[in-house]
Amino acid sequence: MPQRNKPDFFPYVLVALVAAALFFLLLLDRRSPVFSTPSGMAPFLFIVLAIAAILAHFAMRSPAPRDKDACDLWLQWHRSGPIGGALTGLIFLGIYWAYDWPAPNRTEISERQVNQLCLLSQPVPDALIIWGTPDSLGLIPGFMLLGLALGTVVGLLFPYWHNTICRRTPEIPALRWLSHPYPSGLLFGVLVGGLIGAWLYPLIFSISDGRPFIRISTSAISVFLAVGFYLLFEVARHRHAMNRAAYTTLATVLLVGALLTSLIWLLDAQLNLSATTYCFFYTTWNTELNELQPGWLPAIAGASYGAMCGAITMSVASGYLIIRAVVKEQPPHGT
Amino acid sequence: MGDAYTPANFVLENLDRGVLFAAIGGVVSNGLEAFLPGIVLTMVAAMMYGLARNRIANIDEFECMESSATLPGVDVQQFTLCCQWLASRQLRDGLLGDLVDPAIGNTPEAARHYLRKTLWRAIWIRVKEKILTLLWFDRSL
Repeated sequence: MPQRNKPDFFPYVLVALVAAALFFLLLLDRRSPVFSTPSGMAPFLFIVLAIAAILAHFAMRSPAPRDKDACDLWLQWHRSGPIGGALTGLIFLGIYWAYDWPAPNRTEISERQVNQLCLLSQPVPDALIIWGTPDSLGLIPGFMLLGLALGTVVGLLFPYWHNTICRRTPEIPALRWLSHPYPSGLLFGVLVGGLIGAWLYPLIFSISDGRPFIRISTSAISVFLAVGFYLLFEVARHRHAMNRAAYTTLATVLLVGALLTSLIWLLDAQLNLSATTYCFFYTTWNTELNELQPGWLPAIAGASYGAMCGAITMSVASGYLIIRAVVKEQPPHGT
Repeated sequence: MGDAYTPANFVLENLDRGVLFAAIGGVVSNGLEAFLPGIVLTMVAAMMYGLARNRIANIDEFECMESSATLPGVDVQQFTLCCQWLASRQLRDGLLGDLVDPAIGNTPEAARHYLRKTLWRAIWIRVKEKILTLLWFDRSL
């Protein structure tokens, strides 16, 4: 059947979803509320989601344009790591700014509040506290470069990891379950995230000159949105190969990521995890020398933080491998 | 739009109805607090939904259109674009057909004036009818 030359609306679905996410940021940003009350905001959210639904409905009913290299990933592994990492860094900074940055009606977690937040044996004198806040725009290069570096490492390591796991685990029956992309990705995320966290934490803490501490929920939301958008983009581009089972898998993967993120958000809000973690980090910090005090506890705390971010990242990222596997098992209708 | 009443159309019509009620609810909720940005954002979002919905509903109708005829003084391409987003194929064909009448389209100025005057009125009537239908007031039409 000849392909009909219809406009490709699916990228607009993504734009609408980005708009919904930006709206979500507005929801988080309590500095200058755009809506009078939550009841005044809910209709707006419904309409934005309706726009996304109508565009998704159209995109699912229209054929996608076919490229000659349509079977490939939009970004190859070696490119998806650094580019995806840099974009993740940018999204991370945006959410960090919206959610954690100092504001009159925002509870900030930083050295400025340390005497109120933490039960310190002796209060930190004002002279040792950094009172100024850095320019948030000036943080863009740092976040993007760090994202690029981490993305490169993950983009190069994960294919090796998954191939090795797939080759070795059939020999060990007890570990055969690891050959599935989801547990393999999750384990990779926990291990590599933990290692990066243990190494990066002292670095970040030593240069956080008056910045607020990045809340655990901020990290969770950021990595979920960043990797989720990439997943949606890839699926949008290869939607001619998608079938019902693949769409169900996509929905499941995103739902699991969203639930994991919501759980972390809820725990953070209810148990005040971020403030507790910050105080724990702060007590392991020698404010006079601006360096870590000796001991393993700071590294363990940094590793836990990194493992949480890695688990969320890979739980969504490995979704693409699962969807590809589903498409391979059940070819789309009409092929 | 003259489509058969399928389950998909039923769902879409209810989605339209939901958006209309959400828009009314949003305007009322923000209006009670005299909160202008909230009112404006809700209305803009609802209008964007309406535009996207109408454009998608019109895609098939405008797809197999023969090359536009040239009419003196009328930018048919721009008029078609306007109808694609705001109105329908029937309205476009009807209004362009009216210009054949020498009493309406005898001069380029008269044709332009007729289109300007009629198009916006027709779009307004269409929107009003759609809103009344969604609010179950279609018997009074």
